[in-house]
This record gives sequence, structure tokens and C-alpha cells, in this order.
Amino acid sequence: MNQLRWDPILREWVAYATHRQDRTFLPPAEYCPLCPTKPGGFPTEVPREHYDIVVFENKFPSFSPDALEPDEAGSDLTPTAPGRGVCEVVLYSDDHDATLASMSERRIRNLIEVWADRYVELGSREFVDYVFIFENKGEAIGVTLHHPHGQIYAYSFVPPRPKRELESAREYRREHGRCLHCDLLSEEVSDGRRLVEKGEHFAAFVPFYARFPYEVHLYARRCAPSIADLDGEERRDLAHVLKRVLAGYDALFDMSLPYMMVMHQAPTDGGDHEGAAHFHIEFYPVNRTAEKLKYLAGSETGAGVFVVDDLPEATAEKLREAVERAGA
Amino acid sequence: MPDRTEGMHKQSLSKEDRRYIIFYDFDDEGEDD
Repeated sequence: MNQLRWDPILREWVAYATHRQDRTFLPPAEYCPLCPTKPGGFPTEVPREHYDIVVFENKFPSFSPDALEPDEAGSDLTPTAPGRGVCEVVLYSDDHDATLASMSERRIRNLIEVWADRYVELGSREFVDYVFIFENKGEAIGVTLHHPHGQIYAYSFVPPRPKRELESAREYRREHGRCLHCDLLSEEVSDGRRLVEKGEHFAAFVPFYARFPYEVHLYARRCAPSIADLDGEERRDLAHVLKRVLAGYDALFDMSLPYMMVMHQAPTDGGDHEGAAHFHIEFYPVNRTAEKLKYLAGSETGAGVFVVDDLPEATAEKLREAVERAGA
Repeated sequence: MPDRTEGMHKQSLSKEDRRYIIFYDFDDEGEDD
């Protein structure tokens, strides 16, 4: 059952997928459903002995291409809708113990090709308005499978956060005639205090208004609307900067750092997003220290106001040092 | 739109429960030069 219910107070959809309660939860490594199927072994999701990168439809999807009209009709004030969409799992490697940070730059570069291919293919489906590529890493984030993987949600609507971002960018362009993200990036590069890593075509920084202590945004230096618009050199540089940032994250507290990684880019709803959409990646690690986590508590969840213990200038400095220490 | 990377091979299959699975194979197998 996949259904959407409208929240008229916050004016956003909430998705329900009750079958997900039964999904596989932290199985032992020998029963990992994302590992290759070995001869004589139990059949996993991947019917091959080895693989490079694999994409498959999630067995427990939050959204489904065949979602039916919900039995619960709701009302004019609180309508419902089919939870239509596509949920894919992206397996980064057949090595169960690998992480994105431990992978070669070349493999990350190949993964970028896969992400771009999925963006184009899913975005071309008539009912898909937004292709959201993301990774939840680590038990602190709530992952149920340790095998290195990410996910893609192809939504039938533009989700509220990217929508708000696009609205801000459009308004900024109307007022100033320039791209909001390009101007933000330009300020970060010239200021330098929050810069974590600078490549030829991408730059990573802790934003001036970071909500998580070690939040990092990784921006394309050219105003490319989506990952699919990046040329070969830009994709190579993205792999390089990603690798450096991820290695720095793991060096920060000398542990494999849990994080959420999300990509924001142009919707695929047929609208004109040129000059408003600017491809970028955002990382939200939940650790404040090696042992302490940042929880979304009363102020963050109930009021929408993040309270942060460290200034972005200080965390960026620690991250820069960690990136240098890692030397990836 | 840039051309698809040289050396990337894509094969789509349908699983028993009709879900699709796509294998992306690369000539370099993700190893650095």
C-alpha cells in the first residue's frame, strides 16, 4: 500500500508505505541480500557471482509506479493520492565491506555515470517530476543493510525542500539577475574560511548557515542544472572532490562517519528550471563528536529552528585538516 | 547532454517478481589507472 496524504497546515504530502515494516533489518554479513549470489549459496537480490554496479527496484518501495487510488478518500481539506513513484537501490560494489569513501576515484566516476543515467531514464517517465539521489550511511542514520549502497526516489511531485530552494533561486534571479547558488559559491570561495576542498570544477564548503556541525555542500562551479549536464571533465573532478571529502569525513574522528548524502538538481516535470536549478550535493553527518550525536529535538523538529554547538568556520577548519590528513 | 561514457555496458533483466535489475559493467571495473 503506497498512499499520500496532504498536510494542509504545512502544505506538503506525507507518504505512507505500510509494507515497509517487514523489510530486512541488519542481517548477518553471510545473509546480506545485496551481496552477489554465490554458487550453492542463498539467492540474494543479485543473480550473479560478481558485479560492478547494480541498480534494482526496491523490494519494499516507499512509492510504486502502480500505486492505486487509496481506499481512504480523505476530504477536500485533507485529500489523498496514490503514492506513485519509483524506488531504486544502487549497489556501489560487490564488496560487502567497502564504503564510498574507500572506493577508487575511478569507481566513484563510474557511479557518477550510473547516477546520471538513472536521472535521465527515470526523469523521462511521464509521471516522474523529481529524481532524488541519496545515500543513508551508518546505523546512526537508521540504515538496515550495511552493504555499500544508495537509493533513488523518483517522486511524482517536486518535494518541498528542493521546491523551496528553486523558489528562492527564482526570486533571487528576478531581483539580481544572477544565480543564487553561483553567488553563494563565489562568496565561499573568496572568503575561504568555510572552504573544505576546491577542485577545478567543484568546490566543497561548510555553508555559512550549516544546520549540522559537519554539514558540507559540494557545488558545481558552473551553473549545471543536473548531474546529467556535467561534461566528462566535470564528472572526473566531481569524483576527485567527492573522494577527498569522504576520506576527510572518515579521518575526522578516525571512524567510518555516518551521514546522509543528497543531491539537489533540476526537476523533470517539463518546466523551465534554467538559471534556478544548480546541481549540488549536500552531506548531513549526525555526529557532533566521535561519541555524541546531533538529535533533531524540540526546537529542530517542532519549531524548525536548528541550534548548533559549533560555528561553521571552526568545523570547516577541522574538516580541512582531516582532508589533508587523509590525503586521498 | 554529454555522450554516455565509453566502456559502460548496461544490461536490464526482469526478476521473478517482475522487478527490474540493471547491471552496469565497466571495462575498467572501477580500478584506478
